[in-house]
Amino acid sequence: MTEPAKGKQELAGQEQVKAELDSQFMEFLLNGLSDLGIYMLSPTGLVQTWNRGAEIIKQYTASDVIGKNFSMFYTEADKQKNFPSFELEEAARKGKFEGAGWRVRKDGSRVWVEVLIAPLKDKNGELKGFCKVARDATEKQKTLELVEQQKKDLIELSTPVIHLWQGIIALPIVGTLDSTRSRIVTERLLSALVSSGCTVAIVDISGVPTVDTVVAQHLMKTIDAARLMGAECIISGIRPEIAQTMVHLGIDLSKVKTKSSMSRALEEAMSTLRLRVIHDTVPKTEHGERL
Amino acid sequence: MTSERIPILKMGEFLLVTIQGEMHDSLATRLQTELLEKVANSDARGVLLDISGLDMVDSFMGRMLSTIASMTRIMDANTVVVGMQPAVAITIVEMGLSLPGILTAMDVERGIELLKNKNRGRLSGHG
Repeated sequence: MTEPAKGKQELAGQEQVKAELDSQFMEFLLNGLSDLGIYMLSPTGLVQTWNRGAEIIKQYTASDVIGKNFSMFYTEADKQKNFPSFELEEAARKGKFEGAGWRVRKDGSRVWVEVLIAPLKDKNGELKGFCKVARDATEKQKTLELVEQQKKDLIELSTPVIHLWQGIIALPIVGTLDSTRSRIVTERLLSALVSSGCTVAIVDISGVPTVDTVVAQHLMKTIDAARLMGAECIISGIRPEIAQTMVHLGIDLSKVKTKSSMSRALEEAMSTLRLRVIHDTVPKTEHGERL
Repeated sequence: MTSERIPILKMGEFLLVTIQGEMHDSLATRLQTELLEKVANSDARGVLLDISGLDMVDSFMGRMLSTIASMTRIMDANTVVVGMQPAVAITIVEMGLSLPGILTAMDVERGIELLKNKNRGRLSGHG
């Protein structure tokens, strides 16, 4: 054998080994990473290959899905919005598509996946199909949704509107007021005034540790808005630190009724509405009936 | 000029104006003129401006409320703006028009009460 021929054979042998290694490597990648669904799609979106990860995430076996359109994994709403074909078009146009969304599994349950779609092209640049990688991120998504929900619950819990007396509502505010929360307080206060028909609102801020300029101004705007609607606001429970801040910030509270405590504010509210609580001196029976 | 106009009703010693739907500038100007004439002719002691049907305001409208109030006040009739919606109140405040001198009430009934109290005060002041 001549030298060049020998070299060629060696090279061919090396290439064969390399191809062998490559295919083992591919096999490992495809089926070793069981938390990644990796599969190929035809240019029109028909499933061509299916790995173990995809089987675990979507519950379908290879024989269930090969040759079928991948839109079968999408929710009805997403299908109606033509989301599956939109994802392929985006991938073909931009070179990749990244997204996340709910998918339907074989048993009908839902799974939140993060997906990456890349187009597969031949030497001439002609589209031959797509490669799709999907990861189950349901837990992460559920945690995110839970955090969102808890945030909402917290706002709901921390901003109660109490119908205190005929014509008087109270909003005890507990915790730090940021601009988002103070906007919610405003909305709740004003809509509560309309729905209850009350004309006096007591905003108790004894549970608020600090107030900044934005929040203080927001509070003043709320009081102005309530006045325009024909209602009066009384602020109660201003802490020493807040009083200092307010004055240092130059916020004019001279036109606002401020009271040291909720009970004094209630007294004030009642006198505004010309209500009086009379101490009942008439003796009563055990059952509370007047004699 | 449109033939649209806003009715001004007389209720005892007060006038009631109910503003509903969209309020464009010419209609507002016309209302202002007619209202002031009516205050003069009927010797009204107060005006109730019911804007509970108004979902939106612009700065023109905001200022108009305040000018009507000032004008009727110097004609010896207080104006009470009645039933302002929360969204409208927030808009007016955000525009920086807090309408300082204006009287407000939640509904017409409370507006009438407020006007009566004001007038009573005036009488006792003279007596």
